[in-house]
Amino acid sequence: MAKPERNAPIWVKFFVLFHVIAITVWALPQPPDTKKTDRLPWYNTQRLLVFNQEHLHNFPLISDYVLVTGFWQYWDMFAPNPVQRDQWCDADVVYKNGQTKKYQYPRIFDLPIPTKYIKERYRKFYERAQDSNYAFLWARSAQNIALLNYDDPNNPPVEIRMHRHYQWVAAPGKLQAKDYGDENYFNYTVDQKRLKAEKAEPL
Amino acid sequence: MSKPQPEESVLRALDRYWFDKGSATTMGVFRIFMGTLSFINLLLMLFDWDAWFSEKGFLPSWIGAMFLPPTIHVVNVPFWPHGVPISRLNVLSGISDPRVELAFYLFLIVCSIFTTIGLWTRASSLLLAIGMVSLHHRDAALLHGGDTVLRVCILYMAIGPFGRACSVDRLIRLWKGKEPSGPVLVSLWPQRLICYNVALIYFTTVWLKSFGGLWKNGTATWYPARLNEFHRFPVPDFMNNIPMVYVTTYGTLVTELSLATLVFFKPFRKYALLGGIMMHAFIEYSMNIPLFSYLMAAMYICFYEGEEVSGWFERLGRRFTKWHATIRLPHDTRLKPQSLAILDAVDPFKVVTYLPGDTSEWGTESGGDPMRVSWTHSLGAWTFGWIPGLWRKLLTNSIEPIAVTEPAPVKERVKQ
Repeated sequence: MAKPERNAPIWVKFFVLFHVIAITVWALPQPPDTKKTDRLPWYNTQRLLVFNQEHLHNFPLISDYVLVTGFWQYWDMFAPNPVQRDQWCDADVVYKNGQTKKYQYPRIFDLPIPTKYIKERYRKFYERAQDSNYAFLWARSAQNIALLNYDDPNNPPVEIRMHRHYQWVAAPGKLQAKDYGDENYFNYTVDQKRLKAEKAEPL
Repeated sequence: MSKPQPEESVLRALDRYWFDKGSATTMGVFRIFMGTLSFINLLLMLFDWDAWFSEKGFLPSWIGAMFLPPTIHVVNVPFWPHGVPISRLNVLSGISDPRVELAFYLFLIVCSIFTTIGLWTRASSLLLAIGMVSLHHRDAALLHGGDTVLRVCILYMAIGPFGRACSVDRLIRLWKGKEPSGPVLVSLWPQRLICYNVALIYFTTVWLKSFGGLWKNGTATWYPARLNEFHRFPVPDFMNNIPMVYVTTYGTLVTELSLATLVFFKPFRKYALLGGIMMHAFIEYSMNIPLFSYLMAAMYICFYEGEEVSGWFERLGRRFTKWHATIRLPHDTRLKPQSLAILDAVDPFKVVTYLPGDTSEWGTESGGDPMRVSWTHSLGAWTFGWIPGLWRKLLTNSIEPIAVTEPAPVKERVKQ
């Protein structure tokens, strides 16, 4: 009797099995509170998530595979809760002669509908860039704002004052705030040497 | 895919589901969707290339490396002084010349076009994947969920035979006689991996949402609808008010959970996917989250077998009778077998019929230029039919004279 034809090579099957395990381990949610899990019954799924986080998630073969290849993934859109804070940014650009100009970082709400689609990256970037965990992004952002507002070599921007505008969405039935809070969260003295060098670059 | 056998073991059934051979049509259509979306994605970012990819923008490469360190960890190797660094795939690593980065970016756009039409698909999809992963590893601070979906899908396209159907490569193989006509059969594991990944996306997001108080109390959808920065097209007031908020919140959870579970069972598949399409259509309409909904919906096609997808096209073609066209060949000629296969492959709706003609020229029953009618009615020919002279050359080379085996007697020939 003829041997039945193999549907796929065995190495492909092992690869698929490994891949499925790796992306699952990587995509499983992080447990909300690892400290309290000891008190949970054995069948509670949070214990599984803690086990995954402590033993599997950073297992070198798995983490190296997903991180090197780009298969890393974590699905937290609107989860565990949707964002409840609307925010946007602008900056005061202070020039050498003391004059101050307002720079509006692209605010998606104010843009025409087709432009919103193109400029959405600015909102996403600012969602992260305003976070104090990523404060290392602030100086570069401010330097770039200086460059975008640098027209007169005799009167360059000397200081950038970054402002965050925010509004919390109130729960249903509660009074919704109309005004946005304004917080000056970062002041930056412009690096003049870099400003001139970047202005001179063709791209 | 082979049919389930009675008394089949679970392991055998799983093996059959994941690895058995089936039509590659679904993978071909998926490649066209994802290639197009990756092209649009790259084009959208090109508008602000300076801001995101130049060294004097918001995200120069050194800032990108601070956000997402290129090296994951270092493996200690005996006799190796500083160990071997395990790094994220990023061919842009160490490059800070904006001209090189721009050239690389434009090259990726070309790769996305080639991937879409399926030209040199193996190479173009692999290069697109390497490039897209590199861009994402360079500029991780910019990425949203849609980018992750796109990257993962492009990686799947790079490792699977996504160019075997619905591609220019397929037409070239048919032309050269390297492949028989009819559906191409491949092991379906790449398609199954995409299905699994879709289910994983929805399953893990529902699990994570189960930790959120707002999803539990039914008010989660109240909040995004009030974020001005996400606002897109206007939504009727009742949609954003209680009790509709409860309906949309719990409806989202039910839909997402069914897309992770019920979708694998054929009787429920259509309803689960319809629910998902409605959910993403609403998100796309009301919220400004570029391409995300299109990307998710494009993945749904992988839940259908290639034969089912071909069947849809043919049924749709039968309905559009106005689109049907008949092309008459020059008399005493017929289509070569490989040409027949090509014309069949470029016409998924099966709306163009080629019949013997009675004049020395090509003809069409609906009037107009037969060459033009032929390619404009064949969807697959849209990729190259517009190139001046190409389709004409292909058609004229696709016929051969009908061989007369027994010449008719002279008298009878005169009578004729």
